[in-house]
Amino acid sequence: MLVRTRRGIALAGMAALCALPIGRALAQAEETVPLPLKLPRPVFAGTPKDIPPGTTVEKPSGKPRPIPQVPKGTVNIALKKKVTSSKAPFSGGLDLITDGNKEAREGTAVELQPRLQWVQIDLGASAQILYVVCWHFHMEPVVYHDVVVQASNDPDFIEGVTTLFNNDQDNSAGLGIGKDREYFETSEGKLLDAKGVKARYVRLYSKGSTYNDPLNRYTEVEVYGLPPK
Amino acid sequence: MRSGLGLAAALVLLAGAALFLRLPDAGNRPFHADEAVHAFKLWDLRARGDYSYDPDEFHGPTLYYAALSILAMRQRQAFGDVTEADCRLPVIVIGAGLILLLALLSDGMGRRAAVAAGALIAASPAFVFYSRYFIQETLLICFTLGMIGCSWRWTRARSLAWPICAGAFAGLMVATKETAILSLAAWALALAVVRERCTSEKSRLASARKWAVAGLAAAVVAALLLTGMGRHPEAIADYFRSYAPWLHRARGTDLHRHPWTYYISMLAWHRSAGGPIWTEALTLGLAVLGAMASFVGNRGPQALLGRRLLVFTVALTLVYSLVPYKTPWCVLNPLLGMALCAGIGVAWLLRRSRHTMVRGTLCIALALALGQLTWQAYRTSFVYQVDPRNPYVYAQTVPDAEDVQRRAEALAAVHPDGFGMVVKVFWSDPYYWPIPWYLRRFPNVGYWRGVPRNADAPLIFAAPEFDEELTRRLDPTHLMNGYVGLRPRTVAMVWVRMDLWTKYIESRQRQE
Repeated sequence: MLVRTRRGIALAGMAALCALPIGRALAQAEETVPLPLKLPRPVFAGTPKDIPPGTTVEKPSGKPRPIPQVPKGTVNIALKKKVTSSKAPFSGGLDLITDGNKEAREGTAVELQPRLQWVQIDLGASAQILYVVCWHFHMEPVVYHDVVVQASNDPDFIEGVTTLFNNDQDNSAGLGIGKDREYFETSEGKLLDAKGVKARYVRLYSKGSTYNDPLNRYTEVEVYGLPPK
Repeated sequence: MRSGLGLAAALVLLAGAALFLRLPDAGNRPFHADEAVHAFKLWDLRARGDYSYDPDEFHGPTLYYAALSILAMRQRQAFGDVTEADCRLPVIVIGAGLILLLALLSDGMGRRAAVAAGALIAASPAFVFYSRYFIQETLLICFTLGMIGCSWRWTRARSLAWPICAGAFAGLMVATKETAILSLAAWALALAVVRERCTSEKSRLASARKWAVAGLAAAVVAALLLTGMGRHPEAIADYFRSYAPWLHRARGTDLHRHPWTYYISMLAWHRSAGGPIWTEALTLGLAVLGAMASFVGNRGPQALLGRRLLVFTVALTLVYSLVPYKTPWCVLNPLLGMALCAGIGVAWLLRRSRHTMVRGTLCIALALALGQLTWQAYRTSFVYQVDPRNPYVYAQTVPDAEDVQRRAEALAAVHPDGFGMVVKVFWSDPYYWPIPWYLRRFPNVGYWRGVPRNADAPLIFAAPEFDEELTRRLDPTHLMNGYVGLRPRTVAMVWVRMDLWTKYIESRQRQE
C-alpha cells in the first residue's frame, strides 16, 4: 500500500513536472491581446459635411471601433509580402499595398485599372488568418463596389477558396451573390473576421467606386495571424 | 507663307488636325450636370419646336440650335436615343472650325502669326477639352473671334458686308451667353484705346454708318434667337433682366468662388497631388513676346491689330480674374486673346532670327513645344478626362453615375412594364443631376424634395440623408442595394423592391 502510495506520489510528481511546460504553453496559447492594429490618421473624421448625413448603413460611427482580442503573437503577416494584380497598375507600385504606410497622403495608394480588378497577397506559406484589414482609399468617404475578399492555398483561386467578404449583391463580378453591404471607406479600414482560415494567398476584388474616377485603389491591406512556424 | 492660298491650306490643315484631336470617343466622359441640363433643354426645343429664354439660368439658345442639326442628321427620334457624343459633336466641329476664322485677321497679324495662333489653339489642352463639352463657352469663343475678325476687316474694306458680319457675330455672342458683354466691352475698349486716325469728316461719317449697321445686325440676330424666332418678344426684356441674377452670382457663391490667380495659375503651372503637370506657359510666354512685338519697332496695321488684341486680352484677363465667380471653362476667353498675341510673338521671333541656322533651331524648338502641348491635350481629354487632378475637370459627374442607367435598365428588363416602370427620386434640393439624364429612357420618373407619403416604387434613388426614414418605411419590402456616385462627394442610395430584385437575380442566374 505504502509502496503503491509512494509510486503513486512519484508518478503524480512526474506527471506534474511534465505537465508544467504543457500547461504553460496552453496558457500562453489561450492568452489573448488586443489586435495590434495601428490606425492611420483620419483626414475627414469630425467634418460632418464630408460624410453623407443620416446614413445608417455601415457609415463611420464616429467612435473607435471595438478592437478584437487575438492570441498573443498575432502580427501582420502580410507586411512587405509580395503582391500581384489582375492587370498592371495605372500608377504606383503594388508594393504600396503591403509597405505598412496606410496614411491618406499622396503616393501611398496604388491605382489599378477600371472595372473588376484584383490584388493578391502571397503570405509566403500557409498561415492561420484571423483578420484582414483593408484600406482602399480614405481621403474621402467613398464607397467601393463589388468588394470580395477570398483566401486560398491555390494561387489561381480555383480550389479551396474561402470567401471572407462579398458585397456584390447581383453577382456582377461572377464570384457568387454577396450578402454583405457596401460601406464608406474611412481611416479605420474595413476589418474582416477571417475566422482562423488557413491559407497562403489572400485575394481582394473591387469594381470601381463612387470616387471621381473609375480606378480601383488600395492604400494598404493587412492580414493578421500567427506567423507560420 | 507668301500667298493667300498657302495660308488657306495651312489653316484648313490645322482645323483638320484640331478636329482629329477633338473628335474621337466624344462620349468618353460622363455628362457633367450642366451638360445634362442642356441636353434636356435641347430635347425640349426639338420636341416642341419652340424656345423660350430663361433669364435665371441656362444662357442663350445657340448651343441648342447648333445641336439640332446633329440630331436631325443622326435621325434621333426619341430622347432616349440621344447620346453624349451627339450633343458634343456640334461643339467639337465649332471648336475646330474656329481656326478658319483666323484668315480674317491674317493681313493684320501677319500670315505666319495667324497660322501660329491656329496651331496653338488646335493643340491647347483647354481648347481641346472644352471643345468636347456640351456647354456654350466654345461657341462664345468662336463668335468672339468672328466678331473681332469681321470688325478688323471692316476697317480694311469699304463694303458694308463686314460690319453686318461683325454685328451678326456680336448678336450670336449675345444669344450664346450673358458673359458676351465682357468680351464685347473688352473689344470696344481696345478699339477706343488703340484708334486709327480718321482723316476726314467723310470717313468719320462712313465709320458711324458702319457702326450703326453693325449694331442693327447684332440686335436683329440676338433678338431673333433669344425670342425663339420672334415667338416670345418678352425675351428681350428678360435678357436685360438676366443681368441681375448673373451680377449676384458674379460675387461668387461658396462653390464657385476662387482666388484672382485661378485662371493664370491654371494656364501657367498646375499640378495636383499625384498628378502630372499641366502648363500652357508656351502660349503665355509667346503672348508676352507678341505684346512686346506690337510696341517695339512695329508700325502700320500689324501694330494696330496687335495693340488692340493686347488691350482686349489684358482687359479680359483682368475682368475674369477679378470677378470672384469662376468656372474653369471661362479661361477660354482670355486664352483666345493670348493665343492671338502668341501667334504675333512667333512671327516676330521668326522675323528676328535672320540666320538660317537660328531660324531652323527655333522652328524645331517650337515644333517640339507644340508636340508637348498636343501630348498634354491628349492626356487632358483621353487619359485624365474625369480625373480631378486635371485642372479643367470641374464638379465632374463621376463615372459611377453611369450605373444609374445600367441598374435601371437591367431592372426594367425583368419588370412587367419594362421602361414604363415607375422610378422615384427623393432629394432635398435640385442638385440630383445628372440622374434625369441617365433615366431619360424612362417616362415614369418622379422627383420629390423629400420622402412622400407613398414612397413605394420598384426602384428608388435617394439622397443618403433619407436613409433612416427609408430604412424605417421600406426595409420590410425593399433592399438597400448600395450606393452610386454622382459627383465628387455626392452619392445616391439605391433601393429596389424585393420582388423585383428576386426576379432580377433569378434572371441573372438563368443567364449564367
